[in-house]
This record gives sequence, structure tokens and C-alpha cells, in this order.
Amino acid sequence: MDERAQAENFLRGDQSSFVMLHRAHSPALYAFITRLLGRHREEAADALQEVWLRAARDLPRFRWQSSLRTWLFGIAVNRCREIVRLASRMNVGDDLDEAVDPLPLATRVDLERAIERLSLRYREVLVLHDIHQHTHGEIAAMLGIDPGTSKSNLSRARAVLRELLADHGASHGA
Amino acid sequence: MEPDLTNLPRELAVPADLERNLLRAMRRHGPLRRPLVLPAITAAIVILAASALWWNARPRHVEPRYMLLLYDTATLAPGDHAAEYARWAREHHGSVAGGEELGTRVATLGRTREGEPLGGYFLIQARDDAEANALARTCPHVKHGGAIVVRRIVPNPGS
Repeated sequence: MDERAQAENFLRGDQSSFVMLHRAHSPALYAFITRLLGRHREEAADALQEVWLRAARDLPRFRWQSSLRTWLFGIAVNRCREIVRLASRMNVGDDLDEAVDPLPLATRVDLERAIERLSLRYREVLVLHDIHQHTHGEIAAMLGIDPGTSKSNLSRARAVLRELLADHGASHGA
Repeated sequence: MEPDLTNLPRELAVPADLERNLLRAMRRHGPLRRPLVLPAITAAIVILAASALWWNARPRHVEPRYMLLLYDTATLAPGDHAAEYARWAREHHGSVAGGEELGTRVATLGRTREGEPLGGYFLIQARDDAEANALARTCPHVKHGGAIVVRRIVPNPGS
């Protein structure tokens, strides 16, 4: 059974179809949400649940012009932005516009920690493109930006990541 | 050197209780909401009960009932033409609810008018007095010289 049929069965109340969709997409969504939330990763499980509830609400209007996973990732982006913005207003979270989290990188930092230190704007593009292999066209549709902006943000994100890793290497070498 | 992110995991094991929580949430708020069986059954019972009450309480048109009292005369003895009377009753079965021949008088309690003996009766239904009278005129008792008194039965207020 293809995903569209599963989704239609789910909308008709078929529990097993929903379980199949959830098991097919939730591990990737969970990895994506966890990276996007960065230090707010403890919200990831709740965020994933909210993503599925919103998906169930909006699924009847989904036109299947993209893959279901791309559409779910778009919902996840919006939910993560809400969480990070709320945390930012409460002064406990990321800044959406700063390129780099102002906290110093720990000496045992790894690539994941370096990604975590990127601002949400850069982290979104980097994770979607370089880890989850979405195209700039898909990323642009998910994030509501131009494909050109997606490319330039990715370029900037990679540059900042290089700097972070170089600083980390220098501090280790020192 | 460009950082290589392709080796980073694209999937992460979801918490063990997430699926159970998701199913619970979908049953409460999503498409897996259970149909409201109990309220539907309750509503059906209420509707049926209300319908039954309405059916019993609805105004009904009940045709008045009449008694055709058949008096014998000197030319007509009890039991004469019984088969013909029965045939007439069958022909008017939509109106004639019943009828019987009466035997000899057993007793008289109180005072009664002198006259021909009551030989039988028919119980009929008619829309009104005129229809009852018209039906009575077709009864063979008249043709054979008997007398018929048509009396309207007073409905029981409790019925």
C-alpha cells in the first residue's frame, strides 16, 4: 500500500495505517527536530507529537505535490521555530538571527555540538540539505524563502561551521 | 576543509512511549476519534420513546358506533332468515362489527315499554347518523317486516 492510500485510510480512522506512517517517518522527524531544537532538545518528543496532530488536522488539504516526508518536515520546521522563539522571548534559548550561539564551545565538542551552536536560520538549511538531503527547492518551500536564499544560507552555515570546528581544533591543539 | 555531515545519523530512535501517547492523542483529537456509540444509542432511544408517546397521544378519528336493535313483529319469528342476515353482515363487514340473535327474555328489571320483542342486534360503525341509518335500511330485517331502532353508542370517556 502506498503512502497516499495509507494516509487516506488513516483519515478514515484506520489505526494500523497511522502506525505505519508514524513508524516510517517519525525516526527521521525526531532526528531532525532534535537537531533543530538544539539545546531545547528535551522538547523534541512533544514537538513530534504536535507535528503529527497538525499533520492529521491538515492532511485532508494536503495536495500531494511534494512527498509526505517533505510536507511533514515543513510542519516540523514551523513547530521548532515556535518553540525556539518562545524560549528566546523567555531568554533561555537561541537567538534566531545571530549566526552563532554566544556560548563557548566545550572542549569535547563534536560535529553535532557545532551544528547545535549554529543559529536556527542556518541550522535549518544545513540540517535539511546536508543531513536529510532535501533540495533547495524543497527547503525553500518548507521555510518560505527563495531557493537562492536557501543556497546562500547554506553557504554561510557551512562557513560558520568550519570556523567553529577550526576554533575547536585550535583550542585542542593549543 | 568542508565538514562532512553525510555520516551523521538521519534517524533517531523515538522514545518508547511516544507511539502510545500519539495514539491516545489521535483518539482524543484526531481522525482515530472513536464514534460516539453510547450517545448515539441514547439519542435513538429518546427519539423512539418520543415517537411512541406521540403515536399514542396523537388525536385519532374514531368512527362512532351504533346499535341496530332488531325488533320482531307478528310476521317475523326469532331465527327467521338467520342465514340471510349473516350474509348481509358479511357483505358490510367494513361497517358491521358484530351481531347476534337474542333468545327469549330471561328477566326484566324495572319498568320497560310494551312492544315487540327484541330479537337481535347488530353493532356497526358509521361516519355519522345518516350513514348509520342508510346502512340500517339495507338490513334484510326491514324487508321481512321487522323494525329496527338505530341507537348511537355513547363513547366511554376513558377510551
